[in-house]
Amino acid sequence: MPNPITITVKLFAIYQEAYGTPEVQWQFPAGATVGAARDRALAEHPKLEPWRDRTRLGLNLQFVADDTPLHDGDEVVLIPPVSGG
Amino acid sequence: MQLATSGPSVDTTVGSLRVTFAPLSLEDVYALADDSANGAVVVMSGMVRNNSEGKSVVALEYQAYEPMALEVFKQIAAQIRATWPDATRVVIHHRTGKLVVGDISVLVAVGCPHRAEAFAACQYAIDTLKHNAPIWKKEHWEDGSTSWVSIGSCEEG
Repeated sequence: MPNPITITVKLFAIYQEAYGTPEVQWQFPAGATVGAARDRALAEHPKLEPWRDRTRLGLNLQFVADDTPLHDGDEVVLIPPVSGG
Repeated sequence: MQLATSGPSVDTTVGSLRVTFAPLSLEDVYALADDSANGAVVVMSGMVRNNSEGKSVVALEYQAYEPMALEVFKQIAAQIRATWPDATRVVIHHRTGKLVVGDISVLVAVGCPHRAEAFAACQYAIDTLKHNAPIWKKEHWEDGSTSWVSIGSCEEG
């Protein structure tokens, strides 16, 4: 069996408040995709479920689709609706 | 050229991109956009307004995923160069942290030979920043409550 992968997930705004920390490190089985990080966050904090479809995903500082594969050491970010400016 | 006092930044001869905790300077941003090939510099200054949707706001708290915000700023600058090749300078500075009414949260400046492309490029930059940059602001209301803009109420504690 391939080794599991460890990623860092950066948390901001409502995600950061839900977890009470700006980042977490999670393990996933080999072959997991970026969407798995979002799914885990929503499973652990169901009150954030309404934001599922409005949460964009970032991988190593770029926007990506949720079926993008994860690799060991990746940095994922969950991006709820932005409001800069 | 003044160095950024915090946060990631890219300063080159064709522009300056920063995410910073330090106060922003209109004078510095204008100077960074200045170029002898310019016929126009358009500067957009965004600041904290005293109300939102009819309610009094006392402060805004900005949070940014700084390295990715800087990547978005780089993509904006690259797109401006592709669309308006005569643009001389692109400057985007954004603050983080807690800002009070009247504080400047963002400055965008674009220098071009002519005003039409300077206006267009500056508008493109601020519109794209607001849509894509991973930056969030929380409104602090007069009654002491807070809420994330475009997201809604905060859990207490």
